[in-house]
Amino acid sequence: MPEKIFFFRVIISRKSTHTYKTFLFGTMKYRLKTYQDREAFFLDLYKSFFPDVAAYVRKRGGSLDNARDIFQECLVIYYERTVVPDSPPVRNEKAYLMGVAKKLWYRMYAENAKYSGEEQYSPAGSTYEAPLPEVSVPANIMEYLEHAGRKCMDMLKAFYYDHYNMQEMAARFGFGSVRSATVQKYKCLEKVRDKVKEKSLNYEDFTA
Amino acid sequence: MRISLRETKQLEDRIFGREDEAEALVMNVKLHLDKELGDKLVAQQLVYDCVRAYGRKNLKAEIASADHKLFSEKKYEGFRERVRKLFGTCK
Repeated sequence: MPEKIFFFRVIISRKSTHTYKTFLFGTMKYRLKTYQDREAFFLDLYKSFFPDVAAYVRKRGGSLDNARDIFQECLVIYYERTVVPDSPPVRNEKAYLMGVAKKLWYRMYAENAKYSGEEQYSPAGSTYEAPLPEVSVPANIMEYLEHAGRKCMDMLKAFYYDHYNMQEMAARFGFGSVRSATVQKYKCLEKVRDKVKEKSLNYEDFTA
Repeated sequence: MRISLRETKQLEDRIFGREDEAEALVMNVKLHLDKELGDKLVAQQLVYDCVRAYGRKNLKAEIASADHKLFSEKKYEGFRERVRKLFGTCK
């Protein structure tokens, strides 16, 4: 069946020195498991789409720093969507990133009277992601975990934030088997949970 | 897997809504009888928030590093020139 063969063909991008992206079924698929992969991903997106976002921000009286802040938030949102297994593909990256940037612009700067005369963009009618929900974590707990539990935090981040599967976890953290990696992941979760519990109680005692 | 790790997994299943009906019923009874388990559930939820905040912080540092490269390294001069034309200047 020649049609089937055609549809399953994978084209490795030749523009990039990394093979972190493939073009499949009309959409870009990314593999972002290393620092180098992610750096190539961010650099490519900056080069391709930052000027469009910057032009949008500039037209509305924003500065270059405003545009850089907004674009960096866009990249976080796009990354978090991209690494989720089986997430619906983004068919038009430019439209997606512009949609997110517009929402962020209105969230970050719309309340400023300077921009009140501008055209009104209605985020409610958009199909693009809402700006990042804030993650509220007591600062003392975060500081403590970053210093005392970095190894476990790196492991938990790889699984829960970067969405490594357990085989990738075993390879990345040097475990002999998926089972060992799974057990270690739960040990880390338990260890960090106990630290969080202890720190939360101390924090409550201190602030009561 | 040792019992406490199994309990950690069960709490995770509760937090992410992955329990079946029977598991949910058993967990409800356990939470009713064991106050400490409820405290663990709350703390474990906070761990996932901490991990997300930690992940974002690290990712933002990586993005800032890419941004710095583009706005400082010679090989990206063409990119900076495009941006400079938009703003009239470029750092």
